Amino acid sequence: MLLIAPQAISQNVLDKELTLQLNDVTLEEALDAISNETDISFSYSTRSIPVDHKVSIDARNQKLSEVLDQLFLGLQIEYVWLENKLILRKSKNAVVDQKYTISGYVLDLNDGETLIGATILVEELGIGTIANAYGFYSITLPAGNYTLEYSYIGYQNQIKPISLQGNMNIDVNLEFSSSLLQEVVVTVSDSVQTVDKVHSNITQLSNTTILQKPSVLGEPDVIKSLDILPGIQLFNDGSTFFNVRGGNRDQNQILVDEAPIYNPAHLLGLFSSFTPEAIKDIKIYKGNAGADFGGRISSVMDIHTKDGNMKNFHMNGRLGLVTTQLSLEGPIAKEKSSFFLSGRRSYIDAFLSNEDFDQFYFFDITGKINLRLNDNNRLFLSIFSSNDQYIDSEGLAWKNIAGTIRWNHTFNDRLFANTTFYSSKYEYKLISAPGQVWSNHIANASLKTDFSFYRNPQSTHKFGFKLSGHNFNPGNLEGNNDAPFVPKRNATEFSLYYSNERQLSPRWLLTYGLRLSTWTNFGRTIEYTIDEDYLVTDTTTYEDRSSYNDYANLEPRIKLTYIVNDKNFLAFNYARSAQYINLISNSISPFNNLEVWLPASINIKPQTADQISLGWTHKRKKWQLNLEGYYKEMQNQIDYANQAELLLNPHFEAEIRSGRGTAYGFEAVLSKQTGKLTGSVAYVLSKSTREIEGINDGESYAALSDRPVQFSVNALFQKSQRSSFSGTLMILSGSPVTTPTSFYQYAGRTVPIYTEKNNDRLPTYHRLDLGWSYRLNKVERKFNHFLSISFFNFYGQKNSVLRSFNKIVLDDDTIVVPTEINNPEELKSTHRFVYQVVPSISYSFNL
Amino acid sequence: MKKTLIILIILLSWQCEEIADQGLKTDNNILLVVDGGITNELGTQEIKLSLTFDNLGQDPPPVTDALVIINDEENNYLFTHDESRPGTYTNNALVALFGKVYILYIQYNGEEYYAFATADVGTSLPPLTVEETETGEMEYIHTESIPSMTNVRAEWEVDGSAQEREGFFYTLDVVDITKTFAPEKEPFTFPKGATLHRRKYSLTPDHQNFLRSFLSEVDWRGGGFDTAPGNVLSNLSEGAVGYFYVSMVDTDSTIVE
Repeated sequence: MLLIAPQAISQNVLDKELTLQLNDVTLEEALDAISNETDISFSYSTRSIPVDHKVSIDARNQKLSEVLDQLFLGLQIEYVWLENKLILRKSKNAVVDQKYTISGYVLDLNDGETLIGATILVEELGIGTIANAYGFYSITLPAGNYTLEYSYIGYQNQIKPISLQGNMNIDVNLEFSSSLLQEVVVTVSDSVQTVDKVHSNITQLSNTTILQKPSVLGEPDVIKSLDILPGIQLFNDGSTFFNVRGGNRDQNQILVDEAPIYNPAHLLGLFSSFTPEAIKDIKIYKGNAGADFGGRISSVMDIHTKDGNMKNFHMNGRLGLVTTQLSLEGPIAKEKSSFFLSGRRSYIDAFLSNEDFDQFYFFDITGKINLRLNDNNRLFLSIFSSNDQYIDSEGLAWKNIAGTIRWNHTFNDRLFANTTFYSSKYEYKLISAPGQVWSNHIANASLKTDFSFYRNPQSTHKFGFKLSGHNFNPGNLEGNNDAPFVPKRNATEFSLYYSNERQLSPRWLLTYGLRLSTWTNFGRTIEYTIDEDYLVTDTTTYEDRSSYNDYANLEPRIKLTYIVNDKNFLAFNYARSAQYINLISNSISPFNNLEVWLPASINIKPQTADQISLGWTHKRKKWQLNLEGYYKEMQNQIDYANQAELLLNPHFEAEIRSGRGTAYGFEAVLSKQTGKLTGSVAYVLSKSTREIEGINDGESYAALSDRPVQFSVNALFQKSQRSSFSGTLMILSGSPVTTPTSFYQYAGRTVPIYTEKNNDRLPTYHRLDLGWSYRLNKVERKFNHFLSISFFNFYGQKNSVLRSFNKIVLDDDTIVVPTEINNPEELKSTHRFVYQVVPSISYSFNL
Repeated sequence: MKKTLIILIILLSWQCEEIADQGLKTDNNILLVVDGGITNELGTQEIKLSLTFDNLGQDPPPVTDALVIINDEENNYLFTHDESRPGTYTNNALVALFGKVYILYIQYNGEEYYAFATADVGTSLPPLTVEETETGEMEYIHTESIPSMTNVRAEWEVDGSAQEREGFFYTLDVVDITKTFAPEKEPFTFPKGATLHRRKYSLTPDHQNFLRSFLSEVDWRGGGFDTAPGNVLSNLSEGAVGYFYVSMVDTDSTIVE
C-alpha cells in the first residue's frame, strides 16, 4: 500500500468536497462515479491500475483527497494533476513500507473454543487469511488504518477497525448464532479469496449436521454421516467401513487430535466410536490433503475434539435406546485452562442374563485438558479410548486407545509451531474356544512438529517433520510362550515436508508442496522369500533392532486455483501419496472382521496413488454448486489368492496378490447452508477397477469399492426455534459381489463354482431417513432439553449386504445350512440385510 | 419390558435373512466332478463321478461311461460302474494302507485326469454324545476335537419302513471367524431307539486344507462374516473339481435309547 500526495496538483481540486456512497463496486466504477460527482477526469492505464479491484466508499462532504486516499489504500497508486486531469499511475518511488503483523486466536465467545478455519478479512485490501487447526491466525500488512472482519459459519461476523502502527495481538471472540437466524447474519464474506476458500477436495462436517441427521436407534454417528458426501460411500448397512473415490477401506486415515484410529466401530460396526458431542471440527480430504498430511492414499479424516469451556462449567447428555452419553467441561483456572470429558456406554447387557454373555457392552471416552500457559504457549493433553466386549465361551473384543500431547508455540507474530507426541494402539481378539484366544494389534508412537510461517498475506510457508515407530502383531494365539507363530513386525517412518500457499495475483492462487517419506523395517522378525509361483523358498531371521529393508517416496502436491470472479472458482489438484501400512483382510462382510494390519516390507510393497482433479465452484448468496472430476491411479493394490488363508498362517504373504487400481468419476453437489431450509443434493458417477496378476486371469475387474452411481439428498428444516425436521434420501449402486456361475455336488453338498471375480452386483441400495427434534423448554435457558424421534430406513427397504447359496428353509421358516446329505431340502438363494424400519426416540439435555 | 427391548433391538437393528429373488449369471462350462476316496476298511470302495450343473437345486448329471483306476504303487484296481447307482464306481479288492501313495486315474470324454493322495494316521472315535430335544427326539452332538471328518448315519423304522438320516461333521485345526460365527445348521435329529453309525476319517494336511475351502463355501458362508468367495480347492488335474482322499477309518454303532 502506498499513498503519495503529489506536489504539482491543484490544491483546490483536491479540496473539493463530495458525498458518495458506493458498495462493492470495481475501482473503475468508483472513479467514474467520482468523475460524475466532481466533473474531474481521471486518466490511467488499465495495465497498471487494478480497475477490477472491489472497493466501497461511504463519504459525506469529504474532501476529494481524503476519498482518494481511502480508495487507493494499499494499492500503491499515486495521482498527479496534469492538464486538467488526475493522472493515476503505479507508484514509482515507493518507499519500503513498514510492515506489521496482526496475530491471535479466533474463539467462541461462549466457551472459548478455538474456531478452526475462521476467516479474517482486511476489508480495504480485499485480502485475508484463515485461522489454522488451533484457531491461530497471522497476517502481515503495511502500517495504516484497516477494518478487519472476522467470520465463521454459524457465528455472527465481527468488525474491528484498527490502526496498525506496530505488531498487534488480537484475540477475537465470535458469538454463536442460532440456525434460525443464520439466514440474516451468518455469511462468510464472499470477497475473501484465499486458497482454502475453494473447497475442492475438502469437506467440512459440523457436529450440528451429525447430531441433526436421523440415525440408527437415535445414536448420532460421525462415520455414518459421511454417506451424504459425494465420493464417500459407506460399504453397507451396519458398517463403519467407507470408501473414498474408489479407494480401499484401509486407505482412509482417521485422525483424532492427530493420533490415528484404526477401527472406529462399536457393535461390529452398527455404530461408530466417536461421540459427536465431543467433536469440534471434522475435515475430510478426498484427495490432495496438503504436504503436511501423509500415510494414506485415499483420504484424511481430520477430527479435532473440543478443548473444553474456558469460562463456565457445562454439561450435556443423551439417553438413547442403546447408550447413555454424558459430557462435562469447564475451566480449571478461568480463561487459563479447561477440561473436557465425554463418555458413552451401551447398556444392552443390563437386559441380558449372565447366562447369555459374560460381557456384552461397548464404551468410549474422549478427554482433553487445555492449558493456556501464556500468550505464546499452549498445551493440550488428549485421550481417546473405545472398547467393545462381546464374550461368552466364544466371542470378540477390540479396542482403540490413543493419547496425544500437543504444544502450540508462537515464536513470534508470524511463526507458529505445533509439536505433537502421540501414541496409538488398536487390538482385536477372537475367542474361538475357552482358553483359545487369538489376538492381533497395531501400535505406534510418533513425534511431529509443524511450523507455519505467515510471510505476508500472499504467502504462507509450512514445513515440518514426523518420526514414528510401529509395531505389528499379525495375529497369534495368546499364552504361547514360544516365538510367535506368525512373525511380528517393526518399522520406523520418517517424513519431511514443505509447502507454500501463494497468491500469485488477485486471480491465481497456488499451493505447492513436497513430502519425503521413508520407511524402514527392522527386527526381530522373520521374513520369507516367496518365488514367482507364490511358494515360500527361504526363511531369513533378522535380529533385534537390525534394519533390513527401506522404502522412500517423494510426494508432490499441487493446488492451483483460478478466481474467475467473486462467484466462480476453478481448482486443479494433483497429489501423489504413499502408504506403508495395509489392512490384510479378504472379508466382504460389512461387519468388523478380525482386522489385521501389516507394514510394507520385503514382500509387500508400499501402496502409492496419483490423483488429479479439476473442480468448479459456483457461489451464490444462499447456495453453492460444486462440480469436480477426478482420475486416480493406484499402485501395489492388494487382493488375495483364491481361498486365501490369512489367519495363523506364517506364510500369509504368499496369499497376497498385488497390482494396479484405477478410479475416476464426476461429483456434483448443490448445497445450501443458510436459512430455514439447509442441506445438500449430491450426485456421483464413478468407476473403480483393479488389475492384479493371478486374479481374474489378470483381467480388470470391479473393485469392491466400485459403486457407479450415488445420489443423496440431505435436508434440515428449522420450523421454529423449538422444532426441526430432517431427512436423508440415499440411492447407491449395489456393491460388487462374486456369484456362482455353476455348481457341483460333493459329499452330499452343493458346491458353487466361480468364474469371474465381482461378476455381479447386489441390488441398488436405497433408503429414506426422517427425523424430528423438539426443544422441550420454551426459550434458550441455562437448562435446555430436547426430544428426538427418528425413523431410519423409513419405508423398510431390505438392502442386501451379503448373498449366499447354501441354505434351506425349514418347516418353521428358519433358514439354516443343511445337515442331511441324502435327501436334503432344496437349496435357496438367500440374502442378508441389516435393517428394516428402525424407529427410535432419544432425550438429550445441556446445561 | 426387558424382553420387549431386547426383541426391539434384535429385530429392528440386527441382521435378518430371507429368500433372494435375484437371478444368477450362469455359464455352460461343464466340468468333471470327483467325489470319493478309499479307506482301510474291507469291503466296497466307491468313487462317484458327475458333472457340474447350472441351477441351484438341480440334480447333478452322473458320469456313467468313464474308466476309473486306482494305482497303489504296485497294482491297478479297476473300478466298475454300478448301474443301480448312476455315477458310482466300485471296487471290492482294494484296501488302503497307511504310508502308500495312491493315484486315481480317470479317462472320460477323451480326457485323462489324475489325483494323488496318501493317508494320515487314524484316531479313535470319542464317546458318543446325544441330547434330547424339546420335542423328545435325540440330537447328535459333535464333540470331536482331533482334526477329522465323521460320517454319522441314523437308522430306524417307522411302521416297518426303514428310515435313515446321514450327515458329515468336520473338525479342523483352523482359526477362522467365518467358522466361529458360521450360520445356524440344521440339527441332526432322530428318534429314540435309532441305531447311530459313526465313521471317523483321518485327514492329511492337504485334505484338511481342501475341507477348509469346502466348508468356507458350503457350511460357513452366510453367517454374516463372509470372506471373498473362492473356488474350492481340488487335487484333480485338468480342471476337474472335487477331491480324492485316502483315510484311515474308525467306526462304531450305537442304539440310542
